[in-house]
Amino acid sequence: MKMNSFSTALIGLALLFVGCASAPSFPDPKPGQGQILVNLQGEAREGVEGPNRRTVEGEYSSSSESVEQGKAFERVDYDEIEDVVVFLRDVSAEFDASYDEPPTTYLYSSDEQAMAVEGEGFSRRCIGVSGAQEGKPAVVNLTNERSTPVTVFAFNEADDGFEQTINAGQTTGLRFFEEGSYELYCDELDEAFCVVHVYNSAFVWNGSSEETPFFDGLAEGGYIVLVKAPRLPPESITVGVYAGKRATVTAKLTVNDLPEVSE
Amino acid sequence: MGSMAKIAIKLFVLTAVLALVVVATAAVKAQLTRHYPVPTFVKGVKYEDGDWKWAEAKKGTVKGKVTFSSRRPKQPLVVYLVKLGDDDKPGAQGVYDAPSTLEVTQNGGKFEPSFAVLVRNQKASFVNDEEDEISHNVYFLGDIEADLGIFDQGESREHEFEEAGEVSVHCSIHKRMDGKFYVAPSPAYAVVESGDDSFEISGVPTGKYKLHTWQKQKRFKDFEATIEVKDGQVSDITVEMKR
Repeated sequence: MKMNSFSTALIGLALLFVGCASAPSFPDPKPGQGQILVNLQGEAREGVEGPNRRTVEGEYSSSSESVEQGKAFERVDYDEIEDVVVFLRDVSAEFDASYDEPPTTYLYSSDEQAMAVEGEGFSRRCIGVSGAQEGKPAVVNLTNERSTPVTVFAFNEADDGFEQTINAGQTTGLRFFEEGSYELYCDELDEAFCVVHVYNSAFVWNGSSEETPFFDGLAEGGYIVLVKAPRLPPESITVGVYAGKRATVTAKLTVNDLPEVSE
Repeated sequence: MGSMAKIAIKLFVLTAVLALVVVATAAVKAQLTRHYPVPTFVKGVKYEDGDWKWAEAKKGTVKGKVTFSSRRPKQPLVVYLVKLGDDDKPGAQGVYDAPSTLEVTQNGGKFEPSFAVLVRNQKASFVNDEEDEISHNVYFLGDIEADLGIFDQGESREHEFEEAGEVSVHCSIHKRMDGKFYVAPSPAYAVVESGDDSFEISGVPTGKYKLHTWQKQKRFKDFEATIEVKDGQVSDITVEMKR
């Protein structure tokens, strides 16, 4: 059989459609349980255009370069927002489903996360951890990948916080006893900054906006999806989960919903 | 038309229809999900000015030492006063002349200054003084949330801070362009820099106040104490920063 270029092009387009139509593959819900899939959608600020360009004259020819040169002008990549945190909390007490008694759910997830002190700061600007069950703290394991000791500290009104020195190459567990947001700093590195979000009774997911948070094995009921990312307003989405079904929500990572103040 | 072409066309149509069904289903599901943006745009503290004027009030001074229960931070600490009403709750803070507009430049993709303490009702002017045709955007997160828009080289935008609180300042275009402001409730504040262990707030209208602290890098529990300011007198206080 002879394949002409038209046939080849159509097959190529068909394969492209198949690729686009198929999301990352996730298992089907088990009987009696539901799922939540979160699409993280980064959105650049409306009205922002690409960097202006200028002509650079060389000895034999000229070329064009961006006027935004250097690290200070590195642009936010809204297609790949790093250090995104997603929490999933049960709000079955508020769920308006037609049950005589709302189903109860106990959410549990790994209560330890890890990051590092490297270069001039922390490896993450935002991290989430699910914690503090019956006095047991949430823990973030912090590794000092620098060649000298560092002292890190954080404080939250509900918790006395901590101040800890970590020797070069060592890992220590930073303990958070209360729910809330802790700003983590470092004495030796002025620019080091990370917000540690601690929620009790929640699933937590840490990743980037290129990935897809997926929560499986959920009991029926109402849930709140909380999405936090550095330098962006947080977002909260309420969603109902039904047995044998997958609920898909989209969380926008954008500043476009902030009120615009004009002169 | 060859058989391969017919097969290819059928495959193309089938997958196009499948893709449309997937997209339409996702759109319907999105509509059925309740979606609440979280930000409450002004969480900063609103204070009343009241009728009385700073210029006509008798005044005193608040002077103090700052102690730290462990290693003191390198970053500044703000000590500020909130005038209390007869019920010992925050009252009218009085009418005062706000300090002159703070100019914040953006040359080189940096806010300068990147940290500042302003006074409620003071303005800040964000100036795009880039040497090249580079646009910036300024938006605030924290106790006050707003977007000042995009401005091109040579443009500037002003914003009046009508509420008190902590504000982080960012450019949504450039990922490293960040700053932090604290808006004090009134001119009765002092900044304790790294290396200092004392402060003085002069020209404070007489009355009962709650003294508070705010830390640029939170390390200790913020301190609070009630203090009385009397005409022509110095009120002393020790601010203890502890865990």
